Amino acid sequence: MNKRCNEIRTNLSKYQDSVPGYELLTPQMREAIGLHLEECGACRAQLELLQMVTQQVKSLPEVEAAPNFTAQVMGRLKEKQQRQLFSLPSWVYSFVFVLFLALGFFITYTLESPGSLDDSGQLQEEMFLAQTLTETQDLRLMAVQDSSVELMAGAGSYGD
Amino acid sequence: MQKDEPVFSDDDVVHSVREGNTHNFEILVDRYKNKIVNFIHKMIFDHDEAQSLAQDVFIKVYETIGRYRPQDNFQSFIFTIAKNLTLNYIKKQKRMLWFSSSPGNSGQDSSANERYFRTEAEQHDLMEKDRQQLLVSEGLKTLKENQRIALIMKVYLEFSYNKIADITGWSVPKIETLISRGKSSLKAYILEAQDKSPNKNMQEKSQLGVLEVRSI
Repeated sequence: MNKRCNEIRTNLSKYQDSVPGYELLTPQMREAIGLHLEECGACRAQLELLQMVTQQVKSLPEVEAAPNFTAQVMGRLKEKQQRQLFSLPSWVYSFVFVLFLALGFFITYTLESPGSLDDSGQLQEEMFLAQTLTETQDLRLMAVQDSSVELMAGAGSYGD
Repeated sequence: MQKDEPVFSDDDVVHSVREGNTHNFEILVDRYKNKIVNFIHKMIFDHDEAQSLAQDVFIKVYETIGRYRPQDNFQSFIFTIAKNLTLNYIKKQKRMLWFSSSPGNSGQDSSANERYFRTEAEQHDLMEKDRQQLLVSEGLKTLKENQRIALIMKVYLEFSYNKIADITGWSVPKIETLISRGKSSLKAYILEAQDKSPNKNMQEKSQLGVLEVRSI
């Protein structure tokens, strides 16, 4: 195969696919290839082989969509739409998550802070106990005083 | 009133679907289902998978219909999605084959491909006509994915170079090269297979000038 044939064969596909109104080659190239093909049987055979290959690809059997193809597609679409209808947008899930997180922080902070409700309750209880103790002590003192007065009075009457 | 039913353009139907008339999407499915199934089948050569993948294409089209611009061509829009999903599928299959094959065979990509694709081929009755078709199918499988896409769109679906460029986003010179190399590789594969075949049809070959070409 000479250089000329090689050059022609690299452009044979374009030569084959060129149609009036859609040229893949310049008119000069097309003419040159046409002239060469008239003279060179080997290049002509190569073009015929390309045509045979093209024809065989064209004649591959057609495959049809399954009879229920459209129904299946529409069914899948409907299913998808229903799923989307019941599912919330993702930002709603994010919002709820952040809300719970904030609530958790708030509760934790409130329970652990100084002077909390628990502490003040304990303080009140202690004050109450102290007050009760003081009152009890006062009552005891008063009782002791009363009994000593009675004893003194008793002693006085015994002497009589 | 006209006797014939009015023919809605793709854009009319798309507009209606966008307005919430989902049921009208059925018109588009009916209009393109055979073309899409055929294209995918010629890319992966598996009937059931082609049906399933084509359904995925229509689901994706519906989901992305908002991105379709009326000044674009709807056929290009749908075929772009079909091309992308098919390429993803092929990549996934190759990965699966790579992982499932033993380390010694991991580098033999083409043989792995053949093993995968041959499952459907085995179901065929190897009559002469089928044998020829099988040979072309097998040859197409050996091509690189981009070559196969370009060749099938040009030769089988008879799309123009500009339409292929529109669908794939490739330049016209690139498509020309892909198609040219694809044809050459396919031609070489068929000739080689016929050479190896015990039932090679000498008459057919001589008619095509094969012997003459080989001697050069």
